[in-house]
Amino acid sequence: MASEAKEDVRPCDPGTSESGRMQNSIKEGDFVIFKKENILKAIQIRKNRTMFLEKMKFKLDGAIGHPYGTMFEVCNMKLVKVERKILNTEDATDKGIDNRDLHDRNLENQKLSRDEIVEMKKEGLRGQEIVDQLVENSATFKIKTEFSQEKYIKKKKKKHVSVYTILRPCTRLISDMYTNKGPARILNLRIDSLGQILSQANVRANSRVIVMENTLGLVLGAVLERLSGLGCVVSVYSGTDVHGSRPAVEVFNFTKEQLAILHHYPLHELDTVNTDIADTNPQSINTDTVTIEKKSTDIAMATASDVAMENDSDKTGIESGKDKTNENEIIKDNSKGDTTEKNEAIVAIKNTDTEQGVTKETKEKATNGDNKSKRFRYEKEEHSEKKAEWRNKVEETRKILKAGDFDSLIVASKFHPTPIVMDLIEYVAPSRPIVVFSQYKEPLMDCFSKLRSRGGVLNLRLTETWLREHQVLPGRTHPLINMSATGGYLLTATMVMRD
Amino acid sequence: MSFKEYRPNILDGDTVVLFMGHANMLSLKLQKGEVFQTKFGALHHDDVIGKKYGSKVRTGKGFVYVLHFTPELWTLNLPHRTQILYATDISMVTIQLDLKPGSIVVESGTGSGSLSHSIIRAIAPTGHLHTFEFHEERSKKARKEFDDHDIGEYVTVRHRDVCENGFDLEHVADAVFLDLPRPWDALVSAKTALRKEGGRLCSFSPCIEQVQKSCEKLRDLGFTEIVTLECLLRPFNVSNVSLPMPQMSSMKKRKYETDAEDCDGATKVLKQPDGNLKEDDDPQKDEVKNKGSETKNVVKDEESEIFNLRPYVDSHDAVTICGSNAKFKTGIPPTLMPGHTGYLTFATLLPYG
Repeated sequence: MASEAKEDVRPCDPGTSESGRMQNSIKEGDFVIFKKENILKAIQIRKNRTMFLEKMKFKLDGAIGHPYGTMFEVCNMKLVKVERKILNTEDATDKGIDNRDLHDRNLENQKLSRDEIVEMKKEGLRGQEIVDQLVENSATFKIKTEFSQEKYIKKKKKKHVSVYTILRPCTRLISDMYTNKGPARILNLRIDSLGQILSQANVRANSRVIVMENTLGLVLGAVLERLSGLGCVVSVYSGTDVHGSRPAVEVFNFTKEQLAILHHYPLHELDTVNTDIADTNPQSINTDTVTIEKKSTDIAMATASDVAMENDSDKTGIESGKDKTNENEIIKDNSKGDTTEKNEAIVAIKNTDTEQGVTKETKEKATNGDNKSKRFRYEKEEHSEKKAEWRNKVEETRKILKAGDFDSLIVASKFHPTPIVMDLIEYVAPSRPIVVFSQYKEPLMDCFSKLRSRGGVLNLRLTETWLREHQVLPGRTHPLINMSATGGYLLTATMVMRD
Repeated sequence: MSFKEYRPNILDGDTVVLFMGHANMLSLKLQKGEVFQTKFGALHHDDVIGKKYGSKVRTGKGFVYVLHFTPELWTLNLPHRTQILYATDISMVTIQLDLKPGSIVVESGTGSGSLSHSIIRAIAPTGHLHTFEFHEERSKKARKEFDDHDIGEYVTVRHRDVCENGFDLEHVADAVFLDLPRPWDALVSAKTALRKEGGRLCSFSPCIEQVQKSCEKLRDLGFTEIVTLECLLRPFNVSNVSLPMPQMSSMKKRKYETDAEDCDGATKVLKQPDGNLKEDDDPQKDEVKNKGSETKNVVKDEESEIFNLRPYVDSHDAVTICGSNAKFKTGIPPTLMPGHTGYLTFATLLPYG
């Protein structure tokens, strides 16, 4: 224990020591993950853009061009690269044997006052220097045990040293990000359950997968990552989740080609997949079904009250930089054009959903004053174009879905899964797996029974995974004091031919 | 049969899964003209060849289902040459090592190839697996299996003791997986095998002492985000259970008896399903509660209050009264489950050099 590897962080000139290959370096427009201990945040890199993170304000320009995995410290509102050095330091400081002489007198023990620390920060002192000062001014540090000293430094570092590692987003990090921030928004889907979903559904390149999820795009993104642009994904989305609002999918930095395999299909049109389109006017179908869908959504919204329901902007995690961005894990560039385009797209889709929607929108806008009506007329034209485009895409997806023979079905929905599963398994080929995730066991038990009585399903299993993390330190190895008590439940099965 | 892609029809020479009931599966290599004896009678290979995967096939005294192999089914049905990793740990390894098509992965030891099949699934068709095994015969068998399974192109099998001689790979891998008795002896070489741009490492060890040594070495070598996990699978047996209602009064007995007639008629709900509902927000639940409190006061009507709860349309997880029993659906955990497989230690190597 005399020599312990310690991570030392030293500043160095930004822009030098560029060792990463081009494709490994951080580019403008990339989504990146800022990581410091268990704080993770996805941010889109833009030049001259002001960011807020942990009460700090800084610009992202300094990160551009550096390889992924580089550590940065916030210094004078800028990101400055810091060098990681692994030092085997002999612990020369005095240390105590036990805590018999330590007393709980926080205010007396630390000679530096809060104001003095704030002042030091204002003067531009680096986090590490502040920690050194705190150690020096602590009356009790020297009589603390070695372990206690280490803990003390770790705690102070966490508070005062703002060193972030910028990492390339991947399923693991994005899952960690949502989990650390509050897993309710991703239906308490823990990483081990997500891992089970991907393997039990046999997701691999060239698979054809149906995904119905309400995990902000986490499951969908994970599937797309495993396909890497090969195969086909039909994402069934519910009325409240227009296909533009899958914030997690954006964070993966998929290329256009990789996203070309992704098709969207509205949940409320599942009943018409097998309807001959030539015979029916799709508009009329829409108006009918959407009302039902809307109702069911309302019910879901009203009842699923322990699932944190947030307003749209919260849900998508997209906010303009000026707002309290700290509350969101994803920070996306909200250049004007982009936002309007997105909003328009969403409005357009809403309107395509239902004629009712159009009139509703119209009324709302009309009440806002006459000067807006002109703009609205223009928007309406835009909408009808987008509407037609979206309609065509849905019809394309309808054909893909209708063709059936999918290789797997994944449902991780906020809705009761039974109706969704019973409908979608019709498109899955025999000898293929299906996986249903729920944060509750009961709906899966119901689904289990319904599938069993339907027949044509083998290997039905209801499972849960248990996950425990351990602290492994010399002489101090034990399970972590806190652990996640639930990561959700899975229903897995294999489809076979029915008699 | 192929582990690379699904094939619709079963061909002569394919290895298939015969499904013969819950947790009763086996692997069978098909050959024209052969007959295989199952516990449900003789299975003629010719009856299987040409059928679609997922078909039901007649045997002498019954039938079996013929399934396409997946890495999960392979793990359950493979010939054991060593102890193997099972799907729960494998899934965790795959997601934690950030595997995706194009990843270059190093694995040691190959063992029975249980994990290898899953790694290949995740990284094909653009990635590659370098797998090392110090037991010559095992490595040869693994090689043959990968070729038979149509995934030979994605894997290089080497017979080599990596603890003694290292991986002989320099800065090529995105991820390294170690399942070795002395993993710390392979860590220096594992670091060399990982790209300078960084990567992920996993070490699987059954004993905590192994983990402690590995973690210390990982820290010395500059790995970060060192995390040790245990992951277990808890299965639930979904079944309907009925518990006898306690008879706490001599007059109730008669009531139960008359109630028995209703048994298969209308179901009566004692408890509301609370699936997605928050307790306080569920008015129906409150109703039940209120009724419950009423029964305390009105002794006379007690029975009718308890049993005369209006039928609920979707009573899937509610308790229903059937005669003198309360019936409910539940997920029963097994009385015994595997409590330990191994510790999974993950670590990140950040870019260096």
